[in-house]
Amino acid sequence: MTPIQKKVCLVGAVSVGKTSLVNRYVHSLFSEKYLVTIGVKIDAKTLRVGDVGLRLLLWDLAGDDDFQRLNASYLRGSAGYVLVADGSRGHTLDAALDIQSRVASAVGPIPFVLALNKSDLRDQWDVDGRALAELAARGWLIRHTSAKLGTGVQEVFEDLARLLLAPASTPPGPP
Amino acid sequence: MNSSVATEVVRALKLAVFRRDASGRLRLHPPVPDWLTALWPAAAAAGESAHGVSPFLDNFLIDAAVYWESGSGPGVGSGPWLETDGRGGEHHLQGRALTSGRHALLLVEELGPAFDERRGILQKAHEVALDYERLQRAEQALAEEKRLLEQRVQDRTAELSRANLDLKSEVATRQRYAEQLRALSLRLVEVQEAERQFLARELHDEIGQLLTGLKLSLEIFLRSAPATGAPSCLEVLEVLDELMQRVRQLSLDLRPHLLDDFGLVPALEWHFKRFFKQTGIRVHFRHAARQTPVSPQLTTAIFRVVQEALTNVARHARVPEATVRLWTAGDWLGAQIEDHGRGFDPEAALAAHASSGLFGMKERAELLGGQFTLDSAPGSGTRLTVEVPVAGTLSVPAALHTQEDSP
Repeated sequence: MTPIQKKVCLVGAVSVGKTSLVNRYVHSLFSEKYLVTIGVKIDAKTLRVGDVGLRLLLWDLAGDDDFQRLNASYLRGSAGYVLVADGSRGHTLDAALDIQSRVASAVGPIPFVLALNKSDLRDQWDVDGRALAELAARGWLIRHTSAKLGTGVQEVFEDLARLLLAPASTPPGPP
Repeated sequence: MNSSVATEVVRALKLAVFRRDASGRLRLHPPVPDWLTALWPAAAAAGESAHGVSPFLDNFLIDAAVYWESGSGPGVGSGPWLETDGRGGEHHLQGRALTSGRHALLLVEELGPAFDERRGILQKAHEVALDYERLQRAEQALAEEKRLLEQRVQDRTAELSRANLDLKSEVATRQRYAEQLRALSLRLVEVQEAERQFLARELHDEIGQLLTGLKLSLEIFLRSAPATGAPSCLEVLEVLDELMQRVRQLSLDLRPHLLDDFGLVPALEWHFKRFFKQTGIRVHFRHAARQTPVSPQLTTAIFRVVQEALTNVARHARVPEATVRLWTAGDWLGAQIEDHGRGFDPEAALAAHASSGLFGMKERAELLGGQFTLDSAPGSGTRLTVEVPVAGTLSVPAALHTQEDSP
């Protein structure tokens, strides 16, 4: 049976590890070298959720910052998105909240998962636990991930895949 | 520009040119660039449509269609994106929708060296920004560490200041108590000496006179009636002599009048003779004391120290002789009592409070602002030295006098 195809965008501030998450998930690769993403790179990965085959088209969008702003037209047709923040750089969570708001304005309340990446740097963790608790209380699905170690990565995409296929899924929507 | 030149330009720029026909299909216009053949060989071979070969391009064509339908403006760009061919080769592409005359065109170019340069600059800019961010975080962490450290230093300093104040207060209180204690001790010594002086004078002047009068009366009585009761009267006279002798001794023990009447040196010389008579220990007295006016307080203190030291010699030293030295040096008056007897361990004796006499001597010297030194060791004799400032008599605070003297 032909798998269902869904477009999923990865969004977040610069250098939070969006490309690394995709590389780890799709190619099982990780590189310590940071290479800035310019524009868009698209990868695909097929997985099964229960009896359903799902092909995720992963749109890795350039990090949103002063040099490159998030292009809303790239979000068109997205079924869901992975919002990525760097747990060792607290301000990237603030940036993620802003981006989430803009994405929701552009494409509506579609499902998403917050990936708090670089959990291998727990000793340098810099995120406000209370802020995370508030987000969780709002219904946000939050995963701690490490593209370097591979922990939590598959779970993020599987979580999102389940949300994408859930018939009565209730997206959290804007705060 | 003729078509052959245009074709060369298109080839040189590695452009893929699609022309939109009336049905909305995009047909590839030759020449076909190599990158397109590598990426989408089927589309290149068919030369028909750009639809369906790339999700990114499909998404852009939605914006392009809107533009072409509107037919106005300079065109729309897709922005750069990355495609990977079947051999793993990466191609950075960028599309642009435009119109030329009545033709709707889609140009897709492979970004070349200029893009690599732009990418390099952007990479460098991001790395610098990240370095700056790391530096800022490090600075913030350092600033926070510094703040915490300063706070700790501040807290500790405040704590130490409080402790210092408490300590100063405690020291002041203890000093006050110590001064009061010294004043009281001095007062006690003065009172004791005054009492001894009073009793000695009473015994010598009053009781002694009465006893002398009684003896004279008895002798007159015996001369006038020698036969009447002579034996018993003679016995009474003997008892009376004994009593007078005892009273004189007691008076001298309490305080030799020589001390008050003639001063320290004669009083000491008299005491050494009496001491020899009582103990058989000869005292060699060496003194170079000038006739410096010395307060009665000081005279008494030195006399008592010598008296107490010789008593210790008689009790413990087991020697036939001792030496007493008395001198003045500058404003200091010194006395030294030395014997070559059994000796003892001074520290142990003082620590064990074995001798209140030693403490008494030490206290007398210190009350007068002087020093007390004791050199002794078992089998090596004893040398006790006291030095006191001639002008160093401690005065009792007025408040204490008032308190003590008030009825």
